[in-house]
Amino acid sequence: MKPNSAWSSLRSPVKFRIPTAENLVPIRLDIDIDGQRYRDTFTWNPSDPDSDISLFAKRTVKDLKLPPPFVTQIAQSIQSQLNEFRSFERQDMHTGEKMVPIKLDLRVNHTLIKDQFLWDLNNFESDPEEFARIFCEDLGIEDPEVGPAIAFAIREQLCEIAIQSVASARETKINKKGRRGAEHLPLSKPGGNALDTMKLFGNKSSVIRKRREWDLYEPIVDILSNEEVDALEAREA
Amino acid sequence: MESSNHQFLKPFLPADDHRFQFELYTIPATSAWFSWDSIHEIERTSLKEFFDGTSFTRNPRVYKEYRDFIISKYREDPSRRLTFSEVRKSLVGDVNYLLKVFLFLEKWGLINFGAPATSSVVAGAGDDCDPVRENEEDDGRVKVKVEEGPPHGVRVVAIPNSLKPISLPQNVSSDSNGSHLVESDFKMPPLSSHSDVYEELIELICGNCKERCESGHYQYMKDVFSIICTNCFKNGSYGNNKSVDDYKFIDHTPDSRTLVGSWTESETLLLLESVLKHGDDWDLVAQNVQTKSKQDCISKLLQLPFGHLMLGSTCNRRADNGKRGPPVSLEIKDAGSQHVEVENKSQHVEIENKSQQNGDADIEGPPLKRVCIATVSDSGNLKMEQTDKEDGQVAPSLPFTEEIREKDGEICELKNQKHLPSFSISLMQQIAHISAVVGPHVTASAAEAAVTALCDENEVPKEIFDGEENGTKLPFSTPSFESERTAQGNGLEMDASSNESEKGVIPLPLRMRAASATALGAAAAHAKLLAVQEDREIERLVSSVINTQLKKLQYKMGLLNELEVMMEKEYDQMVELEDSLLTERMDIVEKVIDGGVSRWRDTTTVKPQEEIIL
Repeated sequence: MKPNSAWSSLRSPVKFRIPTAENLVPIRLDIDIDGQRYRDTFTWNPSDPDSDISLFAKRTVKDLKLPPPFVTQIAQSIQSQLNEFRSFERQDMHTGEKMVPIKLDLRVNHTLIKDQFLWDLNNFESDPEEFARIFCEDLGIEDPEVGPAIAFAIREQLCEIAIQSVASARETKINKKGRRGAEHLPLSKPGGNALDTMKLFGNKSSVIRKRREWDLYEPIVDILSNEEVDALEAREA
Repeated sequence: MESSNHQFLKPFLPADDHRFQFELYTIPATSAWFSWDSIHEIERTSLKEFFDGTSFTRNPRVYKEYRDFIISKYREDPSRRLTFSEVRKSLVGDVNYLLKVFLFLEKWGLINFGAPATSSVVAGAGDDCDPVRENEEDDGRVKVKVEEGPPHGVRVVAIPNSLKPISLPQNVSSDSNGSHLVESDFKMPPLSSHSDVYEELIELICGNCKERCESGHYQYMKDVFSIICTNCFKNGSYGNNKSVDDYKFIDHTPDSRTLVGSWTESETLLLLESVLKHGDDWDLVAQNVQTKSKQDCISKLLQLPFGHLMLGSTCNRRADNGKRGPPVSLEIKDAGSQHVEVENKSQHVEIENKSQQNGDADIEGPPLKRVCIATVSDSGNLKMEQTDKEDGQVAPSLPFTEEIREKDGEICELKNQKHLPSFSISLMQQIAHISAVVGPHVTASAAEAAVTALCDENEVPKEIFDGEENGTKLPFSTPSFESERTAQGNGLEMDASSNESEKGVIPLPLRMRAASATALGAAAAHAKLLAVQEDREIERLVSSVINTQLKKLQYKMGLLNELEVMMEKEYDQMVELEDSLLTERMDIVEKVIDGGVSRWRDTTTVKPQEEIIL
């Protein structure tokens, strides 16, 4: 009984979107003009009109006092990422019962964050921003840029996974022509995680982790000094 | 109640006294439904994701484990506040659902009930679903953080892209301490409105001898601010480059002073009307404004914010009748010099404008309006800028200018003077000015031309303009061409034109909205059309595909039919052949038998035949 219900939810395709409460596209910019580098990450609402892109680019360049060539580059980059997202939008994706591990490994100004946790792809009310807010609150992070960076990292990973599941949805559709394979495929598709689900949520095991695993899933926050930041930046550039 | 506290209060007890081995935890009375062994209805409804079977990973067992773990974790140390991040590392599952469980337990006081609030201010704002916590905020645990220098993530550098940090300038801290007024070295001259109000209180100091002007003072005509006392005037020390004619006398005697000060609105109105009518003829002006003397009138006029302008215009009107050049330049200069003051006095002007609607200072209308509108356009309204560009289309109004000139030279002059310097006024408002001085028909046609010109420029809804036109047509019918000479007629025209200028100014946001609405509507209609087109295209293509398929099928059917016919023919042929062969054989066998030929050993095929025959 139970396995069947799991698989039936697997088979019902859903229109592509980011599986969070708000369907926002993560946009990453990394533009280098004449030795001046502009890196930024933010989320964009795809239902905003595209005319906002150039307005945003102009406003950003004006606020940050960047040289004018940045405007077209920024607008182009945003537009292409949005188009990519939109090309997936019309297709179906299989979300099913996927618990994916989300890993955080980012540096925001002076704060270094390492963390991992599980995220249910089927939870369309999930809220990365809320998670990031609680994260910063609980760990006493004062830098206000950290929260949004965490939310962005989560969204980016969710977006990638969603795109992958679109590809897998396409494959299962093709494979459905050979009818026999359909039952078995969804199990193997999500990789190792569905198996974890079976293992972890099955009747035999507990959802409470073993103590020795607690450190693995614990968030680690480091505050760096200026020199360390400089070193890391030099390495990244 | 903490277990640790309990330990202090508990007396020494024998170990096997089970009653005192339980620990007491406090939870709010509303949470009395909670029980370790079961799941309550409240839990089922609040966290229905776990109980509706939608997911393999969420079921009652999983929920119970989460719940029990979180509560036990909290009770390990009830004095500290358990954070979500502490528990989520130990639990397997989607962090969002875990958070929901956590918040649920916190809300019902099953965890963090006695715990202090967090030190950050943010937490207090975020937890709006916890009725318990709000009471604890009163403890005053909220700490305010004082930030030293720039925030943690920001590094202040001397120039962009360099990594050298600079130190904060010292006066930054003093500024942040709050209201230090920056003292500017530059002092603005006092506004004339200021002097109007405080006239009586201002001590008049002679510009020359720096003494208080007692009895009266002479005001320099060209610059209201420089005055000399009567003594200096008598002595002939007028100051640099000033001659006796340039000063006018302002009496300081108590009576006259109060008289000078007390200009009622009706007097001001009369003054302005008569100035417009009679120009420099101050005797007539004084006659009109019965209660005031000539000098009072002049001084009052100068004191009014735009008095200079009027003075200039009236001077010019009398001076030369035919030339347009010099007066215009003077006007421009005056307008230009007034602009700075105008911008400062926009408030005052608006008040004046409003008073004009009341009909009090009607004649002051056109010049005031002109400058007032100049400020509005200067303040950078986008639409205004657009309409300003249409000043290139002043052309339509100019021919009318010429037309009218034929009718009445003086009026034409006045109008010309009013029009040409006004570069920054929009087309519609120029029409308004025209309407002030010319007949209704001319104005109507001018307005029409302007409207068509404007509508050609942008597809702004014509109904707004039509509305304006309709609105303005009504008042035009009443005043006749001659009556405009009288103050009454002027008043009406002013009202109409002020209305129109008002209308010209007010629908701008309306126009903008209407413009954007039409643009959006046009885009939507276009999109719909495109969609319909696409649909039809799709239908057409599909039908053509179907047609081709049908044709294919039909062709195949045809082929098959042909084949069938051929087959049948073949079959018939075969049957015929068989028959003929059969008859041949029969003949041969008959002949053979008749011929008495002995039965030869033939192939077995002959035998059955024989048998058949026989």
